Amino acid sequence: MKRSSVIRALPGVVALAGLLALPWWAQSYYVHIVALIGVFVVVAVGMNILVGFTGLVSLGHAGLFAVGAYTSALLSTRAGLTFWLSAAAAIATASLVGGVLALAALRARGIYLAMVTIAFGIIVEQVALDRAEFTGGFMGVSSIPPPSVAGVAFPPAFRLYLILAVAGGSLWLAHNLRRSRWGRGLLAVRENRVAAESLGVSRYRMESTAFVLSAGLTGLGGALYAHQNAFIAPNIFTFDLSVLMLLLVILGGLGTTWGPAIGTGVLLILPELISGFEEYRLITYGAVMLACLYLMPQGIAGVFEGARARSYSGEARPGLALEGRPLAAVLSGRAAVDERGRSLVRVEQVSKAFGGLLAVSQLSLEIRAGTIHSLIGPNGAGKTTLVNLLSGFYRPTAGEISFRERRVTGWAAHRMVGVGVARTFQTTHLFPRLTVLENVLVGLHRHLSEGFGQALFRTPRLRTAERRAEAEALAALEFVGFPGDPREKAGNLAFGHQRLLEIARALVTRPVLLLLDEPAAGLTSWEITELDKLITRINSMGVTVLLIEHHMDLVMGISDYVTVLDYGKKIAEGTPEEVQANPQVVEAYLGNEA
Amino acid sequence: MLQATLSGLAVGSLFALIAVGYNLTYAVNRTVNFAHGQWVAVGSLLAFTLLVQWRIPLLITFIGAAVGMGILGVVLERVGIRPMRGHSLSLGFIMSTLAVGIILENVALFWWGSTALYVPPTFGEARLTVLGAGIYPQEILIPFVTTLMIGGLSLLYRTTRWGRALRATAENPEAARLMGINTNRMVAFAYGLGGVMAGVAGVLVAPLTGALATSGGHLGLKAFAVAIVGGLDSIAGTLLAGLFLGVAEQFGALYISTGLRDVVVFGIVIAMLLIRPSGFLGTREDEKV
Repeated sequence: MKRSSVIRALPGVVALAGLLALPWWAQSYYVHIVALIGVFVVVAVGMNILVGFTGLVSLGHAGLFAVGAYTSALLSTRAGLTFWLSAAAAIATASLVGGVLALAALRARGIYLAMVTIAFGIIVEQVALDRAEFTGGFMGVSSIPPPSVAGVAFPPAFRLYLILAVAGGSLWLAHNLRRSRWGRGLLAVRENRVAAESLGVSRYRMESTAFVLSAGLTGLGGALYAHQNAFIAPNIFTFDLSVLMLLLVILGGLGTTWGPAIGTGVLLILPELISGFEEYRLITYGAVMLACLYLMPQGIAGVFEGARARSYSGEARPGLALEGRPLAAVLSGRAAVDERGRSLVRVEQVSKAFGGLLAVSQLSLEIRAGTIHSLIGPNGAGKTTLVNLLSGFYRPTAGEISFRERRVTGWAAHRMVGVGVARTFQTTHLFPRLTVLENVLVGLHRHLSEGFGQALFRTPRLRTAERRAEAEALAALEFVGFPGDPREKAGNLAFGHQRLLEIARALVTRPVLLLLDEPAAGLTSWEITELDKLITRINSMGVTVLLIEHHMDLVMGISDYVTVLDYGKKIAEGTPEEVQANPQVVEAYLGNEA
Repeated sequence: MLQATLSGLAVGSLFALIAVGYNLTYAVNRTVNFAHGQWVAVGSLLAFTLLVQWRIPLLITFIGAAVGMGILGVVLERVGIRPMRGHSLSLGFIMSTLAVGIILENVALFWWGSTALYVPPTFGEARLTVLGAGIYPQEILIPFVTTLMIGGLSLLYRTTRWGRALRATAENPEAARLMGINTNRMVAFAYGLGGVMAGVAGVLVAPLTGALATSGGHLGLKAFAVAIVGGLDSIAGTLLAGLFLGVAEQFGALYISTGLRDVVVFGIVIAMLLIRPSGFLGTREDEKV
């Protein structure tokens, strides 16, 4: 074990030694090239956090790069600030600009986001050109001083070391981020927005965080570039540069740890290897980009990472880090048992219209704490709409919803999770490219309080919290009877296992109320028996269950109350026996036999 | 001011014509050609070859450029759009079309060189005077051709079998497929039509800016801005936005700074996306759970 890890680290150590020794044997030109690669690794890491982790595509990062470069260059040449201060200002300014940009960009995503970022990039370039009295116009800014300590300027070798340290540092930070709740949240939003929101992960917060962080790193890259190159001009910060930045991460491998470094290395060294390359440079970039999209959508690093199945830490064992407490005690932490029998949810005169169609019409309903309450009715009766209303995915057209005596009408999904409403979906919504364990860990998002800074630096406290979270997640998987490997990608699971995973994931949010939308659909009869037991187990922890189901044996056997909907209206309610005896129910299900 | 308005309208209708290319493809499968500008640029280079080098009459030049770029549009759908469906990055088509654009632009650079090629305006360079403002014949030709093209397009949409299939695909691809419409072919057709628009626009723009391979990026981005401001799914909105942004740009150049005219245009885009992301006449798309 020890020996093999030494062997594995060997190429890295040799490469690092080679890089550190570079200034002592290579021509200064090559030292400069390697330094530039380092600069763009920083940018690529920023790009990877945005494009790789969240799936948002920016085509205006050259603008943020320019903001960083100009801020640092102007502050150090005009105001005489040292590199350290001007670079800090560059990070701050770029982050701020990125935040404002995110406000506009995240209003509309997809193609629109591409447009906002393109527009931003062009505006920055044009302003830099036009406001010559301020930015030097097309002449740019020259004689930008290198970093210095106590007035002594760094020699090229030290500049290289500084840049390599920053590049390595940013790779490390992004790697830490990826493994934290923030990273999982970002990926969850990318993989399945609806599921992420249902687990309390706010898409907006995740995406804007990624945007700002990405902008900050790109701004830092800009500052490093300015001081390494000693000269900047608007014609550097073009749309083409934005495209190149995107290409760096696509080639390297979106969302991977080493992708940004690999992509940058390959793309920037390539032109140096081929003489007379300049003429064909752009064509080659275009061809590389296409080839990459066709042949290895996961990039170079993705090919390697796919080859060796990534294993999770694996140290965590259920029961161990739970400190002896039974899982039920952990999971049911919030479902107050003394509430039992009292009103938990009150739906008052709620309607939901889609255009002219009333999916739910003036519905009133009460769910009592500690019960299993089933919702039945023919297809199109408005059952799933009600679940979407209760879980915050839809806002009622009219009426009020209260939860534990608190008005929650119109609350967003991630807020509803916060007060203890969890759900599953009729068609399972998993994060297919995350592992089973990671899927469950996303459910713990709101219960991991470790902040962004701790996530970036992976502090000991965060490690402890993560280990405990892993244990809890594994315990939840055990609780629902998930039989598979927690390190498997969720997308590879059999259908029944997907269902179990989804329930486990909802459970770790520690719900007071769990909404199960047709959990038995598509399951085998043996699986349904197991599901029956599981729901009873969940309920006996004090969790109130609202069950939507067509499977009448299950519903009638397990429920305390049953509400019957038809055409968005409540047509019957009561104990299973009462409902079964109700002629209106029989009519709705079987039609009027008269 | 009248001067600025008139040339703004002329340039604006040109951008609207280019931007319609985005509308066409966005309607059928929510993708656009991020190299659409390069298509226009190559269209203008074709205009140079046909009109200046081979001395072919204008009408045939229009047809030649339209057909040439239309075919390239169909090719693009095959190499850049269809393979990207189901790519892990949902916006893979942005990257693939950008890549194709880069390749096309650089091939054009080898072929036609990197200096702007002069294409004389068909109806001479003498200015006509309208209400005291000077206007070039070319500036009249542009709105005229734009109107013709968009009119023809809506005729094709409404009256032909292909047009109906195109609208069906745009409305509901699933149902269209079930009705026996080859939706892949429809997407390719839309890309072909987009190419036709670009080719025609290229012939129109050549006398204004000269034919130049590297002029595409800028043209394409500005037209994209027009399509966004107008509403990606509305051709009428695009027309409106083209005229509006054309005039706004000229006024920006007049009253603020010539160098900041693009800033005016793209500033309007960002403002628009903040206030009304669906554009002038576009429809809002609500996400359903």
